[in-house]
Amino acid sequence: MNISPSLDHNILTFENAFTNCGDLVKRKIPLGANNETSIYIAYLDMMVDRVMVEGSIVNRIMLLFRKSSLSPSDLKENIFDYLKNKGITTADLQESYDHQEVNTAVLSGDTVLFIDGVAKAILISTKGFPNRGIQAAETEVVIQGSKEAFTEGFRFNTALIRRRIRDTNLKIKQMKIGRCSKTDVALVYMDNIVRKDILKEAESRLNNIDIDAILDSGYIEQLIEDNWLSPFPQNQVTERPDKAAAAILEGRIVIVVDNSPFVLIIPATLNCYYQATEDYAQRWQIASLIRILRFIAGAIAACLPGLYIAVAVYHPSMLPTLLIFKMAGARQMVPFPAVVEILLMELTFELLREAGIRLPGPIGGTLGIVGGLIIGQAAVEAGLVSPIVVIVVALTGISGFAIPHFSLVTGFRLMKFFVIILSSLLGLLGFWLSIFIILIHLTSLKSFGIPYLSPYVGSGMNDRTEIRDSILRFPLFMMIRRPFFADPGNAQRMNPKKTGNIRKKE
Amino acid sequence: MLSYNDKASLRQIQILLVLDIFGTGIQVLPRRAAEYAGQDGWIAIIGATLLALFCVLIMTTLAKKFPDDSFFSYSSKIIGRPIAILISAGFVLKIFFSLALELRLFGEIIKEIMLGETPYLVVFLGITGVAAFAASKGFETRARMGEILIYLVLIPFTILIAFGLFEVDFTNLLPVMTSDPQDIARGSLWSGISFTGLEFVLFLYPYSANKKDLQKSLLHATMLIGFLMLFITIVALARFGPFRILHQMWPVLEMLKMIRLPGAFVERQDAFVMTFWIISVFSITGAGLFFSSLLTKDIIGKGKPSIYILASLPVIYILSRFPKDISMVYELQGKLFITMGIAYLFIIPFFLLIVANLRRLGEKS
Amino acid sequence: MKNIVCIIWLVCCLCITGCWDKVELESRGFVVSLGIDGYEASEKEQSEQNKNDEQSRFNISISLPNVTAIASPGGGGEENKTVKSAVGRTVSSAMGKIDSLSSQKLFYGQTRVAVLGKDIIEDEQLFREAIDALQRNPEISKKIIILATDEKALDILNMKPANEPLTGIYISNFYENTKDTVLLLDLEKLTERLSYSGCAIILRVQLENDELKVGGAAVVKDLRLTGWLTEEESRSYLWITGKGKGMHIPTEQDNAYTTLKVNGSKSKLSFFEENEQILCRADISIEGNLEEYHFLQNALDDDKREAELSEIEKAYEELISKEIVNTFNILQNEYKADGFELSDKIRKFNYDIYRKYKKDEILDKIILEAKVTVKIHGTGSVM
Repeated sequence: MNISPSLDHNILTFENAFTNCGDLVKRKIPLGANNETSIYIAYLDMMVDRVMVEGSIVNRIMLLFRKSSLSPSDLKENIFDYLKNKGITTADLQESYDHQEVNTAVLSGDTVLFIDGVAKAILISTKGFPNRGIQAAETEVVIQGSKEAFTEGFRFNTALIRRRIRDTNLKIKQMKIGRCSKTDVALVYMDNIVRKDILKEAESRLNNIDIDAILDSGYIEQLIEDNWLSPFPQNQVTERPDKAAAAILEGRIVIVVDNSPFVLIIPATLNCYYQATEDYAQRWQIASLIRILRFIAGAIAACLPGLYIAVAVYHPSMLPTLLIFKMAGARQMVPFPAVVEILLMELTFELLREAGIRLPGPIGGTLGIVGGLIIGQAAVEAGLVSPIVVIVVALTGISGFAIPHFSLVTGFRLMKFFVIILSSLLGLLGFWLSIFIILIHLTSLKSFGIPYLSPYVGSGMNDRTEIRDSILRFPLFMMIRRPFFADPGNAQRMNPKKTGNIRKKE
Repeated sequence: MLSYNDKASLRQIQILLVLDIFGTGIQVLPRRAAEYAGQDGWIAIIGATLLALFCVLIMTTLAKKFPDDSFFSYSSKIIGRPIAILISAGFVLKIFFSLALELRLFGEIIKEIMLGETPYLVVFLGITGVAAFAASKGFETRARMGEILIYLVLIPFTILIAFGLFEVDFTNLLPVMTSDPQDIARGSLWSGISFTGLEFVLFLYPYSANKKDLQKSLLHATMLIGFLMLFITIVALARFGPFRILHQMWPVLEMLKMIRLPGAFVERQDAFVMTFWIISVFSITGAGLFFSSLLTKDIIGKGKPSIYILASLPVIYILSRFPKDISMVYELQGKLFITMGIAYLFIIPFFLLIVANLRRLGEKS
Repeated sequence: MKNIVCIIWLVCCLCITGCWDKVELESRGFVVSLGIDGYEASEKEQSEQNKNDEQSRFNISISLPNVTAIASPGGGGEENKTVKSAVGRTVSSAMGKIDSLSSQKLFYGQTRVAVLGKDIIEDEQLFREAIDALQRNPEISKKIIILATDEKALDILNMKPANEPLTGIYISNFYENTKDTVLLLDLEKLTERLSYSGCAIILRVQLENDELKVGGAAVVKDLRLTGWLTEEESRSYLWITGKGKGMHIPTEQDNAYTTLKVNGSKSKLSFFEENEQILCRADISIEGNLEEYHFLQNALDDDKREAELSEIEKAYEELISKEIVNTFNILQNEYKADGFELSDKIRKFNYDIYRKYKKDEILDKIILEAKVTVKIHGTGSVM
């Protein structure tokens, strides 16, 4: 609805929209020596930076008009430009012709200025709501590396990224998503590195979202993913600006969402979930070893209970003789079959894990593992389960924690149950069949057009340099090319001859 | 988009070929070779590889002329639609028969070694269900699966054979070259049964991202398969000796089972070596279902390939129940090979190639 | 579409009713050793059997571990195994009968040892059946050790070695430690030799003073027992095959007893044709350490050391080559069995010679000449 020249009409429309909004601060100020014109100023309490509003706007306007030497008629004609150019001493200024736009802006923390006789309104950006401030990352802990984390403030987050990439090619494309929430969402990317088709796809997916409110980046994550049936996450989520910046430089796109300290990184492949920032801060040998360890941990987290059932129940000839006797002996008085034991213990562990998340502070983490082991021990002594099962389940749980991204672990946790069921039906054959099904699913999954299991399965892609940052971590000076996320035309990121003193021998 | 749009790279196609043929072919190969040529059976393998290379050459030369056409479409271009339908239908039947026999063998051995009480139907459904799932996802998925599975197959296999070499007595191969050359030749021909799956080469051109070098890659892959088979045959012959190997149902599996691994971690790796066979059967069943559904779709003209995959399962099940026992399976495999196998490996491609040349069809390379 | 999904669901549910092969660990009876004996029914039982029309010929005994005792911290003591036995017409039917004697489902996947009793190896038919049953059973590994005894296998299994967990494990561990000093024979090798030449040498196990003694061998020709070899005689087989590391060989020389500990041995066989006979020359080279001499007497001082040592070496050479030829003669003439597998070697290395003769004749035509070289490397910690 358009703004009318009559101030009273505007005030009526404006205040109508904001009935029963107790935090609206408004004032009609008469201006001019003889109070010929008036202006109307309004903002929402605690959404604005009060100092700035009072100091730079109201104060300045009042002072200006007191000292003004313009004639009243002159004033009336040029009041808008006069106010705009001389009165308001801020850089962030906008004009608006539409009431809807004005309302949205006020709701976002701007101050609106209506002027009598002018069919335009001035929107002054005065955002200043209370914020948590930059704190340490809680979910992604590192030993060596920046400890900053994103917060809920949109601008803060984009600023944290800007600090790390000081290049004009870093673009921040903003849009508002959500009918009621009108949340600010931005696509942050490097214009010369990103693949244009992925960018277009991301934009179109975001534009297709028509929902009441986006309360958290998690909503966006689920609304733009490729395959909603899959238990595996297809978008990466992070709390750390250095990770986001690294991803942008690889040619990926970061989606920053207002009110959420977690940003999304797209596209995501399985390999991304296995990388942690401190891999790059440590020596390459230990980093490679730890990467391999993480892979094994991933495999254990999904397969170990199923494998135990398949071997112990269906094919005990595979294990060494004395081990089998010990296991059989320990199971003599146990009332449940092996499958039930495993399922019971697994469920108990999952419960403990969930409980651990809800409990505050240090209790939470400890409760998860230690509590599980203690309960397991008690169950063994009560004769409900055999000790080997406790060990198997504990090992599985611990392996799950070794993977850097918890969202991937949820995928493995679900798969674990699937493997257990099939193994208990058909033994080792069932175990392999379940692994095949999982693999088929993973290999057919794509994230924005990139196969989910790259780089493990794209042989020959990108000149065979992919292996350098996946299972092993090659020394930094060898990682010359950007990974396949990047536009192939701009893949070189390091000039090896000029980097460091590595090749020089004294 | 990075997706290859159902196209696979050269290495992926090579891996798929090796995965399809090697695992299932190697199982009885040493015994068959020894049946005809005694301790010189390994020479028969060399002969078989040469024959296989020759067939691959003919097949790729034919398919190279029509790099973007499926088998049905280029055979109808060459000799007209009705005959092409006949040939393709025969092909589909052949694939069904060989899959049925292979799956029957697989079922028998699973029942014997791993799961005694489980009904055959369940085992069959299990493996074909998962293979059908893989086939329905498209060629690209199969190619990527192949890349992962080949490591799962080759690495344990290599480790086991490496340990097995310690227990092998190479003197069992002596005396060399004392068998009749005719026997060796016959052994070469019959060893060709182990190269089942090679005829899929006729279908591969449309799926390759790099058509120029595909022929060379396929020949390399065939040589690799031949070499692997030769190596394993030599080891098996050396392990068992030419007499005992004739009594073994599945010599390669027995050999792997008997290898003593150092360290006490795995006592008897029976079920563990079955992994290798499970993966191979899964691979060739997936390939067979995929290609046969393509052919059926082309013949009938409409419908999605996934429907045909599902529909072929009951047919293959009934066919696989047909032989009475294992020896009949081997007999039937032999008969199938001599009739339809050779037809589709050599006779029909050769014939099509000649007609294509005479009618000057297809691209000149 | 929904109907198809429903049908698939139903099929899945049907499948899930299964788990056909699931046998919980504690309900499996792991058979560690297997004993096969012949069975002669007593009078009373014979008359009963004639009524049932089934004549039992085999007495199968198995040794089952007592897993609870093993799993307990002590590791088990006296009562850590049970031996069960049953009779039946065939080996497999007897095995089936034992199943009915135990609440657990018998599992032969962990079997380590099979002991063949006297009755079995003396009777060709029973022997054939026993070996066939062992071979065909897919659960039994081909690597189990076969032992022959001239007593009853049941007694061997019943024996409780002090401080050792289980007889079966005891025996197979025993072999692991003394691999090169006894004739290791597993099912696979046994069937190979039997199918090629019908004769084999099976290691012998005896009960001596309530302890198990492993050594010596049974000679089987044409699938039946033709005789027994003593420990010394079976040693010759080890020399021919290039084994023997770790053996201790005593001999006498100049009224002094010495013992040689063998560190390694090599053997090379060559065959020549001569006057319608096949001359086999075995070149055996043995090296070892001297373990025992006499204290302070004839101490090997520097000048005489070389001479003394070469005399000792010569004494050993004579001893061993005599032993080898002796054993071969026993095998050739008394037992008429090709225990040394010479015909097999002729076939491989000298095929032209092999072709001239029939398989059965070859053994008689062989004359064995053993040339042994012994080298003493060290004499222990003192001179």
